[in-house]
Amino acid sequence: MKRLLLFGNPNVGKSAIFTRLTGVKVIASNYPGTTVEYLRGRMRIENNDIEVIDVPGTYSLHPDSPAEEVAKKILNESDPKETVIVNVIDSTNLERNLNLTLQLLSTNFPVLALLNFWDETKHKGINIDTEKLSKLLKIPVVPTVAITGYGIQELRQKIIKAKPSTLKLKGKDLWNLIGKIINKTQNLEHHHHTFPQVLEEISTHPILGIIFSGFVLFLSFVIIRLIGEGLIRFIFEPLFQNLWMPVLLKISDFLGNETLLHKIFIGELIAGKIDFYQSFGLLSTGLFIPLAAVLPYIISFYFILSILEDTGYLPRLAVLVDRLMHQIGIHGMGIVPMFLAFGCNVPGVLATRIMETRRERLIAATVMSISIPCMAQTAMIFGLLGKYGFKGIAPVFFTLFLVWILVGKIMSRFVSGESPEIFTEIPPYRIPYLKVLLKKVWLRVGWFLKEALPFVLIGVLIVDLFYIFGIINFISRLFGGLLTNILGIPAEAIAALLIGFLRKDVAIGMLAPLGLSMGQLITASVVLTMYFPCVATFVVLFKELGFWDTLKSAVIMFSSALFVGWILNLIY
Amino acid sequence: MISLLEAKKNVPLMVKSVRDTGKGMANIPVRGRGRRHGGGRRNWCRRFSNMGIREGVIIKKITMHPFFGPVIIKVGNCEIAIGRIMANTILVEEVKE
Repeated sequence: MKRLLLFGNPNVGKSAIFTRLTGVKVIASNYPGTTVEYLRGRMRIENNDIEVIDVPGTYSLHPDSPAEEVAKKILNESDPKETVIVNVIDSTNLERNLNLTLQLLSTNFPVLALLNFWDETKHKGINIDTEKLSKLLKIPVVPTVAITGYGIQELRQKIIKAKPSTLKLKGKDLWNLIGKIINKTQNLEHHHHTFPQVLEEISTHPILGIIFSGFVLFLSFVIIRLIGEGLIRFIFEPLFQNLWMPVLLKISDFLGNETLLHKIFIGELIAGKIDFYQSFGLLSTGLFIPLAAVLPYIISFYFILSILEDTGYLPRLAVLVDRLMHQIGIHGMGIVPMFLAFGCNVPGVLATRIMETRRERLIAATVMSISIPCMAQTAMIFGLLGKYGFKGIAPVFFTLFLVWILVGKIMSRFVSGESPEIFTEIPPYRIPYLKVLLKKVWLRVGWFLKEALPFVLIGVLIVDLFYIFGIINFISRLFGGLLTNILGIPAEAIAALLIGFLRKDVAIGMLAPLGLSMGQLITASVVLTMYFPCVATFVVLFKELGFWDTLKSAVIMFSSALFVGWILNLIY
Repeated sequence: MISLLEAKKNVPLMVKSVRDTGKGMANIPVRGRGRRHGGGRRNWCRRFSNMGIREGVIIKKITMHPFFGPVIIKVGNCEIAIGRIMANTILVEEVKE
């Protein structure tokens, strides 16, 4: 045996089982469609080196969305002699889950069934006779609680011995058979409403739900800002000022002012001092932007996002905003990629795979890369415009929201194709495990450091070299007129537009030494968000949408950025 | 037999049939939606049955969002949100508890 496939309906805990088996950390959340691409890991059982694949959730072996197509493809590519399928089942929804189980049994693969969320069956008054179920299906059945690790040991022991089921399914009515199996193995007890269930009712209620969502979103925003600012003011800035600054001063003395190396590593001295926002050296601004200005917000954002994901609030929000989202031609579940995009556009674009049609994916991905600034960029906008308070920050986000609606509306009018309606499962509320939650935050913060830090340093280095060799001057003389005339921003800001392709946070940071007014900062922040995605987002856009759709998307971005910038210039 | 849209809330409903694509759509107040860009009519019956919505199953309508928003139903232990056009194709009959 060489391969193990984790198959199951969406949101049954496959990713959590995957992490338990392989030790590879992957993101698991409480909404259908967390995993849209398959992930590989390895595990060892009795000297067998086994490849484990976390397959995107699917309701049947007939694919209805790109994520389900991935699942089907993996199955077709696997060799039944070398592969075992572990079918993860949500034991609180046994009947529906068995549909896929029976379909899997009719393939020639050895199958093993996991009854996950075993702990929840107790609270919900569901009793399942696992031995009987195992006899009827003619495969091993193991109850598990993926998040605590219950049952994983038993699973490991049974994997090796798994054999294809001898159940004869040809020509049988599957649902009829499932009904019989359920009657023989499951009985339900009456149980009372629990607190999460009351909350569930409130949060999808047409009126109370909207009030509740307003409360949740406002609270999330306040907490993100509070934790982010708190971390910056009380931990990261003091660390840089008190510990790192003396080191920098020594290096600065050693290198000597006005030398080439000084310009690259320390940057310009502002009034004889090193300024972390304005100096723009590799060791000063290059480290300060990612570690002290952006990282705290990344931590606080992902902490809150993980809570929203793991409790199961996002699909409920999707139902509430379904009407709004249809205005831009996508259904309510489109809110999930939008939320992820606030952290980073890359996972946002990938998550558009939960949408069923090409039209929806093109609209969602374009609208997102135009109008949703990632958390790194948002943190820098806060850093620069924060001193003006609400007056400085609100216009940026309000304009971007308007752009989101307008571009979406226009695209939904002209992009051809279908926009299906929402059709999604709403998972029950679950109380997140703090340990699991913190691990997830850590995983995402780790990605940010690994992916972003090198790019920020490269960005800052390029800025320095551009200045040193006078390239910025050259370009700003060439194209600067455009900026000044249309957008009302000084010609030097053109360099920010160039660097913005690499990292948007560095680009916003480049505005700091230019001494712009509030209005100019607002215009520049909006234009920098809109005009083009950063290189990382561009690559996934290209992969997801293909050449023509990416080109369309890019044209829309650039032209709308100039237009909106022009309007803002007229206002301010 | 009535459509799920017309059915009462919070009473057990038995699914009688799932209307085939497009039939009987003319009399549904869906205002624009679904006309130009369809309601995602591919493979409805299969997608419904994958989620456990099929003939003979007891479901409950929990809530219906205003302005042609989605309908939320309960199937077994699971809540499902369904757009109006799709929901309208589900024909149900009230049953006594």
